[in-house]
Amino acid sequence: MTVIDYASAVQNTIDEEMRRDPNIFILGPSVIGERLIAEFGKDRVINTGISETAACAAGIGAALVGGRPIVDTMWSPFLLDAAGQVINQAAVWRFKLGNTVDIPVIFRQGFGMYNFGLGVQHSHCFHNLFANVPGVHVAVPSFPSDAMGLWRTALRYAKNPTMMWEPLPCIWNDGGIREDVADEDFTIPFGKGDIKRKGKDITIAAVGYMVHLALKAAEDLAQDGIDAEVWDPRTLTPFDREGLVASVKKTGAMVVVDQAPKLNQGSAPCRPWRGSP
Amino acid sequence: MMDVPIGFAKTLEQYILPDKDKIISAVKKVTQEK
Repeated sequence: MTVIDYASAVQNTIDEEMRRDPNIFILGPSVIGERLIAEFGKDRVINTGISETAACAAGIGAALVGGRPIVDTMWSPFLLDAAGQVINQAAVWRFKLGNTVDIPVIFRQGFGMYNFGLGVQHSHCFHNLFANVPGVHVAVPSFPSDAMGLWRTALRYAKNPTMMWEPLPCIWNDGGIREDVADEDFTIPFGKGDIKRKGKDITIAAVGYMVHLALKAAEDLAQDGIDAEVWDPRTLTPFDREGLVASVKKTGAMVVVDQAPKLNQGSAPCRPWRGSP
Repeated sequence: MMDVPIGFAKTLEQYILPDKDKIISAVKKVTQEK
């Protein structure tokens, strides 16, 4: 076991997978780093300049011809400048070409840094918006081990556009989330949630950094005699409907904690009760 | 003082900063209603 922080868990996993698979390369407006270029070369570490649209378009094109690109836009609100590329290009090419192609492009973006003094254009939370896009897979890992397992799955097995949403408070709040992680190679399947704390009185379905606030809240609630279960979907698309329903059947009640606009009807943990997939 | 446009304050109410105590309040309310 090794203690590792969230940011290192993601970066180390990407590094390892790039060593394993020469088809993986990274591009985007924020891609910098002499270390990465020194190890992988300029053909696999590409700064596109500040154009999210160009970066996403290049990544989608590369994925269509056999590449496995990671498009790193860093600040997710600016991914909206390239939303057409994700929603109206990457997500639909499989359908346009009669299921004859794979589009294994990975979109990487951070979100939800709410207490860092950032401009308002840097702090939005649009993971739920993209979770409502058919054809795109959406992961929101909350712990370093989840990030490692889901990134490995995405970079090894993804056949569809996959969005890896990084909760920035997991990286920057209180020095970052740290965890004792198994040294052996492991993957985590998409569509499989995880109970982060067992309980019997109520299910707190939390996403991203909210999992950590929910865990702290559960500890305080225990002092008042309320035994809360904290459930993390880990991926919003596909969504572990069975896992969440099983938890709520056990506890009989649910509170959803998601870093998204209050009236966002797209909040993924609400799905089992809206009848959507 | 500038007038606040209708709907502006209501829109701001949709943006609630993450807060552990708000989670605790919500959980207590729901468990009491069970």
